[in-house]
Amino acid sequence: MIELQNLRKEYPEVVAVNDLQVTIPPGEVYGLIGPNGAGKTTTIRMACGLLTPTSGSAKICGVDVHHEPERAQSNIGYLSDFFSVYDDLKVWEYLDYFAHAYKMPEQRIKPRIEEVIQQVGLEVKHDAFIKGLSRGMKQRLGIARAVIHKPKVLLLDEPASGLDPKSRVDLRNLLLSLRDEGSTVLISSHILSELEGFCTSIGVMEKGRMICSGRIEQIVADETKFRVIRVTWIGEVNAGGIFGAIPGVTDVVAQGKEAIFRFSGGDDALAEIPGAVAAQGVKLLSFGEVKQTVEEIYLKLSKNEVM
Amino acid sequence: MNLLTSNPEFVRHWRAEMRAPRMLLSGGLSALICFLFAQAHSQSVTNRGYASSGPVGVDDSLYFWLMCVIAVALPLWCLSACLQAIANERQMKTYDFVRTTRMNSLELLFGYLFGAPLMAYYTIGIGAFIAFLSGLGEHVPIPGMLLAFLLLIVFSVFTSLLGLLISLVVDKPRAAGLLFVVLFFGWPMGALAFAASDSPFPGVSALAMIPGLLPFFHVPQTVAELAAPHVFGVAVPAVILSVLLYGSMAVWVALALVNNLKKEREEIRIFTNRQAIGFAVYVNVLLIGFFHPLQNRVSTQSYEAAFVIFLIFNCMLFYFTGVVTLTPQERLRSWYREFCAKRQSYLSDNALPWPWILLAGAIALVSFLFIVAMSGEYGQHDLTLGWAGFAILLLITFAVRDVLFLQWCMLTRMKNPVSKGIALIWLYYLAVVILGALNRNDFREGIPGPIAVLTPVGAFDIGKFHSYALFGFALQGAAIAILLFWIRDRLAVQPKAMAAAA
Repeated sequence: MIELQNLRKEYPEVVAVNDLQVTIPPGEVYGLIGPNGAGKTTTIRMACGLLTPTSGSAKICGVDVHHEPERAQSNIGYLSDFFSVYDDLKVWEYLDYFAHAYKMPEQRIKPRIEEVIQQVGLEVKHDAFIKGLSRGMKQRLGIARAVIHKPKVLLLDEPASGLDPKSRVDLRNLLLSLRDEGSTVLISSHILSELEGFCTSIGVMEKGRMICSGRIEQIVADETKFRVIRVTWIGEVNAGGIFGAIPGVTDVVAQGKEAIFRFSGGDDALAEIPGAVAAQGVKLLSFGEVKQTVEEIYLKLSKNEVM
Repeated sequence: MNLLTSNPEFVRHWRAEMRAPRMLLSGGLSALICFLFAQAHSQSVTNRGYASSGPVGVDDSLYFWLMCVIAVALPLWCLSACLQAIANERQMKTYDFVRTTRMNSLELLFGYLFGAPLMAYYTIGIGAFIAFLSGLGEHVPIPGMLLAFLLLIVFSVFTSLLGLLISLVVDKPRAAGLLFVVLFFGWPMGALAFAASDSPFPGVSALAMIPGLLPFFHVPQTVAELAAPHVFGVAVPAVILSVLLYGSMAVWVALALVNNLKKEREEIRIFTNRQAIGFAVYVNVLLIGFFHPLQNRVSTQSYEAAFVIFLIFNCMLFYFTGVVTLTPQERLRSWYREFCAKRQSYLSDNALPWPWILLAGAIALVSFLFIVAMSGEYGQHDLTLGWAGFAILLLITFAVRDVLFLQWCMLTRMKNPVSKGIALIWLYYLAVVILGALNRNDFREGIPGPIAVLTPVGAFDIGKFHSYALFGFALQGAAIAILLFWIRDRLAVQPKAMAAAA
């Protein structure tokens, strides 16, 4: 659905994007993460045809964005971080303009406008002038604009920048519903919590290079040599002695009636631990793996550039 | 009409601008201004005891004065509206969204061209209607009035296109920019064009619209006579020529816009190399067409004067060709890599601009031969083909040097390198002129040495192979070699694999 092949962009004396190679299959939500200046925006601008790459190609639904821009753009919905809207238009006029600009069939335009207005929760503002909308509402209108032509691919460049927490939640829910409808989404952000639980795949960019890319579970599996386990119990227990003696367990940190340790064995060995400690008289209250966040993975992968 | 009403960009402007209260206010204001003009005119006529019978003269024509106001207001308003159109959108970051839609450059151009100045057309249109009615009352010929309106519309479309191009290229065009265009290009160009009716290229006067409009009023015979330009020896009404001239120039500006409307600002290149050469051919064909050697009306007209004018136009053309074919840094680097691998040549699209300036020079030389053939005076003056070739080559050398300097500026970290480069070149010429003025004694013997060496004015000293100019020619050759070396040096540096700011 999105194919970036050896994508490269050179600016005076710097390479902003360095031979990027990414393929994002249909229905995937791909989070492009990295510090400011990593090349995320440049990548997205090249992917939607705004910027001509120095070399390489960007294909959307099999169409080269730079050779057949208008054909490719019928499949692209684009939203950038900070943007304005035409304040002197009404909400429906704004969407009508873009529906026509995307050359949608005339008979489909009106129902589609009503549909997306409802989707972004701006029904009551249908006939209102845009200048009267709040920042969050304008952002939602921006999303409505980006999806008005039912694009198969959404390219979102830091879409939550400058939004208040409630608007961020609204935006997140909106994007989740678009994901459920089958859109392929490429979303960039340097705020990792924005992407947590939303993306199915991630790519970590630094200094114009993709240092890691793939499905989150796969990356977690590849990048974690051990699992982090948290246990709680009742009664008095010598946690360091009991858990530390189990093969594969390291770095036991006990505090009160709770301990966290690293385990580097397989699933079977992990499943045997509760039985083994119970045999030593420990009354376990809970035993579970602490899932690592995208943020933790990113910090592991990155060289801790300033974020 | 359907072309406009089905154009989303035009419809957007229509919806944003033409709200009923705004239309009422603007229309009312326009009508009020016309009414005040009519009152003032009526008062003036009464005071002079004028009795209406038959056509009226310029002084007493309300139509004339309303048309004068319209002729100034409409193009300026269009220019101003279009000057802000794209730059504002780029600042608001809405232009990116427009560029990612399926509208092609031509559709976008139509939308902006007629949409951005919509309020100007509406408001001034009301004034034009009142002017038309007053013209009818004053027995002004209807075809004349329609031609005048046509000329105004064509000129306004041209200024709109020019405004859009500036808006596309310049980062932040402001009102000051508009004033600059009007004061430093508009009126002087108009005045020069008006003076051209007294030159070997009388057709150039059609650039000033006034000669075209004069025959429709009762003006003194001698002035009206000036407005009879010839194209390839055939007399063409000035108003028709103005329409054709501005119409054809508008097509060139439109082409530049279509080339670049959907591009990032840093990637803009006004014309392709071939289009730039096409433009050089167009200007030279115009010059040949406008050359009118048999018209022996004024004393200043001479073979040499014609050649000087011809050289001035071509000198501007060499610079223009060079500037519009400047290659953006990134593309030039790509070309250099390919060039080093022997996969691209000096004539490739993304190569350095100098071969195209040379080609423009060859076109100028061919045009010169045409003009010589038309005049039938070859050999009767100091001017020979060899000297013409030298003069053109001298101009080309300076143009190549300056354009390569601009290209080098584009390879540096300079912000707005072309604007700054042009400013530096101006400073250079200013310094040379001051230096020349300090050697005042030299004036008695012709062009002062520093000026002849460091500027291309030696090319205008008809028929003389000035030794200073020859030295200057060699010096510029050396400067070009140095610039080429510097450019190669810059291109050879590989960009570092570091991230730029997003």
